[in-house]
Amino acid sequence: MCSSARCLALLWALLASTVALGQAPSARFSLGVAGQPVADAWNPLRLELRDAPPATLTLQIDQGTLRSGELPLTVSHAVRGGAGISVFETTVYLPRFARLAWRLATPDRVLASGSVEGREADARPLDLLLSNLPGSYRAAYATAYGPGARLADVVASDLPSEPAAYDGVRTLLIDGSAAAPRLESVAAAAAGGATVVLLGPLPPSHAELELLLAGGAHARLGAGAVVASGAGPETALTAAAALATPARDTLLAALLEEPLVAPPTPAKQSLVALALAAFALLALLLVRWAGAPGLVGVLALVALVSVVGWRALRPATPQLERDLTLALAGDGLALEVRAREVLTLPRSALSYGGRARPLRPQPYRVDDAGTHLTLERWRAAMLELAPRLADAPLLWDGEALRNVGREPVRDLVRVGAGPLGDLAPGASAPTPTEAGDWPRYAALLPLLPDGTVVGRSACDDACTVWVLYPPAAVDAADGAGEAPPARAATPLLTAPSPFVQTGLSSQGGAPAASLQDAGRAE
Amino acid sequence: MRFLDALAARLARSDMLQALTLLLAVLLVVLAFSWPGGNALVNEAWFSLAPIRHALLALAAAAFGASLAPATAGAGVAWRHEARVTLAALLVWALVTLPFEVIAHAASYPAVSLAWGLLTAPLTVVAYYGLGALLARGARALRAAWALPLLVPGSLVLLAWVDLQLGATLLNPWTAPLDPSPAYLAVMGGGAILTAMGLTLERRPRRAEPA
Repeated sequence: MCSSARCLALLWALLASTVALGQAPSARFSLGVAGQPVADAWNPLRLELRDAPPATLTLQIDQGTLRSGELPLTVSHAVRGGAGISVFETTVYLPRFARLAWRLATPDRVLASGSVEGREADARPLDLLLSNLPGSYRAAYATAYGPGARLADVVASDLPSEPAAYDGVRTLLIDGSAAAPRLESVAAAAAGGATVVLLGPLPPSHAELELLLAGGAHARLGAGAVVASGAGPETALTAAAALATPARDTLLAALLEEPLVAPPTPAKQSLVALALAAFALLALLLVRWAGAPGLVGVLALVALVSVVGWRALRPATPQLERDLTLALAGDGLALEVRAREVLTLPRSALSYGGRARPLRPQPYRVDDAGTHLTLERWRAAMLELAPRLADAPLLWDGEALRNVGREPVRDLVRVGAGPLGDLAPGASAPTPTEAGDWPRYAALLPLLPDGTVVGRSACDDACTVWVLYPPAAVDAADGAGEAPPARAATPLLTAPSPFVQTGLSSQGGAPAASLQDAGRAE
Repeated sequence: MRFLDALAARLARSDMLQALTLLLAVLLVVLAFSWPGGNALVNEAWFSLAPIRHALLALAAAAFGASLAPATAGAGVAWRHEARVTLAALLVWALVTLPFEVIAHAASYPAVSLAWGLLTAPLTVVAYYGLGALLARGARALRAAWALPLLVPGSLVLLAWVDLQLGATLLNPWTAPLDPSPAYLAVMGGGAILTAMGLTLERRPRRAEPA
């Protein structure tokens, strides 16, 4: 018990400290959807700031191994901050790492920082559950995807609206028991490659999600699909698993089996040696026997050999670049993944606007201006640009193909049926051609399910290879309208993630960040 | 006799002709062996050829500079003419060996500009020519002219060692083409100016003291 004065003083002190804490600048760092990042995939990065000054967010990722040694990846972005709450969001490629450290700092002090050890990196794809009772789906996921499924409980606000952020997401299950997500987030998830499972019947607040189904029980959208079912989670998830497609990385690797650029072929050793020997002999003869006119002749010969040699042997550009885009299309949308191979003859520091990552591990840097890496001479690097959405020219019109784009799609092949020919803009019947498969398809076609159509366009400068999966042929609508089954109230994935860290700054002077979980105070 | 005729005659003299033949043969062998053959694609020929070309030009310039240094301070007009013609002949060497470097540079595509090699080669020749003359004069003053065949290559080795110790390219003709350095340009430019002054400024003979 305390006296009234003492109690009042205690209460005042508590209130004052609460207010003071509330006014202190703070930063909440989150990597991955709901703080669950997927290694070897593009992941959303979110930084929430409160009353923080403009600062720079820096991620230092060591992607090296014991064999390769340190391979640093540095990501740095300017963060505006300001009074009140401000949010910074981007998408970063997270490789398998040995150590990850992040830091939010002004030129004067560190506002917050944290680190994560490499053992926390998990390359398993995520299965997201937007449900009030997520634990009830564990058995269904185990049945459909095996016991290693990585389930994560999310709320609607956790879902990013950029398709690239769903690179590491396999499924998104929505049962209508939680707050409705934004339509664009769910569309981004599907287009980004996830299979969205709408487990019905859904309440009216979720009605707009049915727009994604275009009146059916299932639909492909971009690189992913949407499945609606009222037949219970096992049936719905089995249907979703049946729609699974090969991993995007696997398809891209198959397309890139052959290099995109070839180094210049050097002139023959014997030819160069003979030409220079002839030049040397002629020069010596002129010097020895022809006097002053011979000397003038030698100088003219020097100029001639130099100019001819330079023009004949000098490659036109110091860097050779070529792009190839893999586009996974569905229902008019396509997820485009552009690969760019660059071969540099002199040692060069290369910069590309936008987010990219080298397909083979090597040191590089990402900032607001783009992606930067240094290549030694006569070396090539294959870059993958962040996935993005685009209009798809190829559509299924019932069982027929239709080209709704402006360019012809060439060398169409239907897996299991053989070459189809070219498809002109607006046409729905391919024109057979004499040419066979494009050689680059050779490694790609065996990976695709029967009925998938592959074509290419705009190959004069940079090819786009279109992959159009067959219309979803699963009977996922059985039982639609039935009530969802009773769910077991099992808690699921509520453990704190080391990729969600909160840094609190002291109100001035020396930095004093305290971090939840694996965060480290500066 | 016109300067061009004198230059042609100097180049045709056996000492220069033999040395030039040897230089061209070395460069030809280096280029042939460093040029990619078979299935190799990466061309690194310039990285072998350019240092050797610069180093041999510097060595030849220093050697000819040492061999032609005047025995006395008041050298005659004939010596001065001979020294100028010899230096011009060495600059012709730099030109005659240029196609080797141009061809290797074109195919290797190094980050270093070809202009750097075009600029430094003649400056190196002139500066090392002056260095050779200076060495010879000092050796004769010390009555050690017999040691010149050792002093000339030794001085090049010493200068390369100084560069290695300093960790910079100031004096070493071997590393100069690979590592563009304003300091090397300044040092060689200064040396070339001093050499040119030594070859052009007439020194007044001392008046005999009245008896």
